Amino acid sequence: MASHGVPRTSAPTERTPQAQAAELQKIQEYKDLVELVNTKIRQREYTADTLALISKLLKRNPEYYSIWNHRRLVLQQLFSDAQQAAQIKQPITSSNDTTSHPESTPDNATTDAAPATHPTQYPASEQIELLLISDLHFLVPLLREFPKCYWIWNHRQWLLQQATHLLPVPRVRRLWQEELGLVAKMLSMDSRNFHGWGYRRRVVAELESPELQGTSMAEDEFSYTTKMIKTSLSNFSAWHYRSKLIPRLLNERGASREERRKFLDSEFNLIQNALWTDSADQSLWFYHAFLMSELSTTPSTSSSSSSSSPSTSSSSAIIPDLSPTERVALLSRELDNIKEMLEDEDEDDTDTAPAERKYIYHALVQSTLEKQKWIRAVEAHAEPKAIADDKDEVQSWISKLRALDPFRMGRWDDVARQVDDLYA
Amino acid sequence: MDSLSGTFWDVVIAGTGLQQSLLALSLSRSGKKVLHADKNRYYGGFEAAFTLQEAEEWLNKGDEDSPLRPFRKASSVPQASLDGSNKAPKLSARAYSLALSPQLLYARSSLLQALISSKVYRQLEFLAVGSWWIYVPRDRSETGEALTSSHGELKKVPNGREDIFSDDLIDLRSKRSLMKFLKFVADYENMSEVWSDYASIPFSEFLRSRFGISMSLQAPLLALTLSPVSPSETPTSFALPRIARHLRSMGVFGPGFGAVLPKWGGGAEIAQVACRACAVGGGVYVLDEGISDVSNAPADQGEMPGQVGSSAHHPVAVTLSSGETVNTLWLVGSPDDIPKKSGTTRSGNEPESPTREEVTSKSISIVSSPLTGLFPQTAEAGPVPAGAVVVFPPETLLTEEKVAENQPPVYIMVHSSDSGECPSGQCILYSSVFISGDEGQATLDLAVNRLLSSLGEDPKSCLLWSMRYSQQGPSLHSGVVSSCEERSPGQIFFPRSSNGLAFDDELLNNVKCAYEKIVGSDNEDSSFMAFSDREVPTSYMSDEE
Repeated sequence: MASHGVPRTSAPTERTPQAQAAELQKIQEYKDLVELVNTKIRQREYTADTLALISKLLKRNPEYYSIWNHRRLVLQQLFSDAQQAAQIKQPITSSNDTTSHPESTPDNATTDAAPATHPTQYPASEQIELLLISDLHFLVPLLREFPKCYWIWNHRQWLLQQATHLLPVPRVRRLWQEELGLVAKMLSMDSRNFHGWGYRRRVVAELESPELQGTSMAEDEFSYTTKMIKTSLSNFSAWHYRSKLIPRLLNERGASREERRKFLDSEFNLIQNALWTDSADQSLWFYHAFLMSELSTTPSTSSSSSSSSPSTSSSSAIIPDLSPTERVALLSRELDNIKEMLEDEDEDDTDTAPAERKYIYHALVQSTLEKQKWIRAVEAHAEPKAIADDKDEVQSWISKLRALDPFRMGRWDDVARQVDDLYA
Repeated sequence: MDSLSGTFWDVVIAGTGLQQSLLALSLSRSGKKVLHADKNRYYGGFEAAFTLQEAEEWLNKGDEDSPLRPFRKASSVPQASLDGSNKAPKLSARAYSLALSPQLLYARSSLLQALISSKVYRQLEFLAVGSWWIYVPRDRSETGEALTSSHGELKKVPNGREDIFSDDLIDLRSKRSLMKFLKFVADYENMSEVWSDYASIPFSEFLRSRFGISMSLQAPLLALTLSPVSPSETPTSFALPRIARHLRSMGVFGPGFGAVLPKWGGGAEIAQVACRACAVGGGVYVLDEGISDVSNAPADQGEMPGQVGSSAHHPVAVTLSSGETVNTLWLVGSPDDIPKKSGTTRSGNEPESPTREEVTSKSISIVSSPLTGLFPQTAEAGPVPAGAVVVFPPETLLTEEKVAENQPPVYIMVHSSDSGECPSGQCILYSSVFISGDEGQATLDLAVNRLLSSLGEDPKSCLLWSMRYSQQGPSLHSGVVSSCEERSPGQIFFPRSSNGLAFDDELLNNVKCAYEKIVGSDNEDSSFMAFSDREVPTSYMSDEE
């Protein structure tokens, strides 16, 4: 299984007789450990000792997801132990405190905690914080070794959620902030790991949330995608994240129509630059397709769009109110750019890989069909001659596609029918 | 020390240069009795690294021919500080470790594999060699000013697709051409139909006519070849494997770089670590002891004690410079360490080997500032490199309006203080050009000056100290004569180390060739340099800490 050249880690394959004997020994130890942990859980021994056993087991096999549930059970018990211990001590000191701060409730330790007012709650939250931090640290070497194991990420997220419930805001923020650093480090080691990218989005969402008194990080995150793309053009996750950030970014900037237009152009420049550098890279064509889709919302919806309610309509698009004429102009420009890539290609140019030419022809066909739709939307009486020229060209591209990728004959037949319908 | 006189050895190795030291390492677990001698007081031979004081001593010996071979005409120049006070700052001599032949190691080099499989890598530390820079003169018509202060600037050589993507100065069409070329190089061995017709034609011509790559974009590609000679003398068959080596090494040890340098003096450090491994295995080391004579051992000593006639030839009697004579089955060294025939030490001028040897002018300069701009981080969260390569294409160094058709380029390897070769706040420039004599040194001076002025550091960087010398080595260009040569029974000769800027894997092949002659080639292939970990008594290591 090849996933962008970074394989999911599996057990070592080399086996000498000694290694085999050692492995059998290991398996027995492992089985004993599993048995021991399960017994402890059955007996509801949710103690620090059990936690240590669970750690030992998970280091050997982090894919055993039930054990992660056990771990959470034990941790929850340890949290509430810490809270109870604190509450027992509470009456001793809080008797004179409660009168001056009537709004504070002893059972809600999380929301507002100023050091001077709730001295007795600190041991509890500090103890919980220690437990959480040590568990977060426990996961780091595991993540290094098994970066693609779901349960580790899962557990990590659970720990941080617990922090949000149980700790004062500044401390939670600090934990999440450190989390962002960790994700950046992981992504620098394996920049296309989509677990890492997904996790980053969650961390950012958390840091942005009102619960943590956060503000939008769209600008920073957008710059981050630029940086990661410059590190590896093939980073589809980075391109994808970028496409998701753009609408929010523009809204938060309060971008004018003019600015949005400039923005769209600069994104097209970026992707053209990338495509001219390496048109064989599928990630780039995906982002190109995303930008093209911004030009090709179906004519019926956009014709009725009004600028009176930008807040509702602009949430999904770079430029919500592109006129059909503008769309045709932009589509033509892109068509010319892509055509130019073909210009210095020989028919049987061995330097250009078949995949590369396929992407180009495919983009040409799609863009032309889109353009034709919009031409029809602009004026009902499009010049028949121009259309006919176009049609020949499109059909020649489709026949190229048939030759380059015969396994998708059905798809090309379908595209050919679309062409026939459109020019009929 | 006890007298060596009359002792018997399986192998006597003469000289502690990289090849000899690696041979010693490869024999460290063979059970062979090894005597390893060096005529110098220091380890490393051509690859030695010196403190300032050692460098001065070495330079002062410069006129006695033999100790300096293959180095010639060396001199040092303490530089007055440029602020006019004329008081050169006092340099702490022991804070430096200046390498005579610094070489970078590509990540895919077989030497790195050998250092790992032989377990000695744990005693070495490797640092990234980051950016390649190319010197580009400013358009003269555009600046009417004199060529003094800022004659040109350094441009980063694109290291691959992302660099090409990010370079705003390359137009879209050229990006496409460059990428096509890079993709071709990645698999050039299987695409001989593209380049076989151009193999002996200059590489620049191949780039132009086959890939439509313009002059200005050829220079960075030529820089990656590290070719010592002019573009017109650099054929396609020479350039392609080297560019492929560069690109294939990129990212192996981390994003954004493809080569490393060993900390604390490069090859010298590897040589010392290799010798140490041989000493741990029982090898005996003698420094300051050259070989003055070689002859056949007397017939009555033809059979070595404890040896079951494993060798087809008579032992060799080796006389050391102390006058002691030892007997050995094998004597291995470079032509500079072993006298050719009985009773003569060789004079410098006679032709020594069938290999064409050529002279490279070199200089080492200590710079008063760290030149941080040359060492950008290799990638997001990647390491900060300790080495950089600056290339001056031939046309950028023409002093007069003379037409020098075959002017070679100048290479300057810049090592930051992270390399352990100088104190922090300074850096070292290792410059070389394939021109001999005063002209060579003048060209190097010009390049060094232009490098410093192009960086425009404030306060202006200046040279604190520099030394000049020239080095003889096998021509990189006439096809390296590889392997080891057995000129007479039991005597194995290594060719001199090349003057190349990157470690040449052929050198390791020479070592393997000698190893197989000594151990027997029927020995399993994998045993060469493949060792398991061994328990080292701590007492062995204590003096190295």
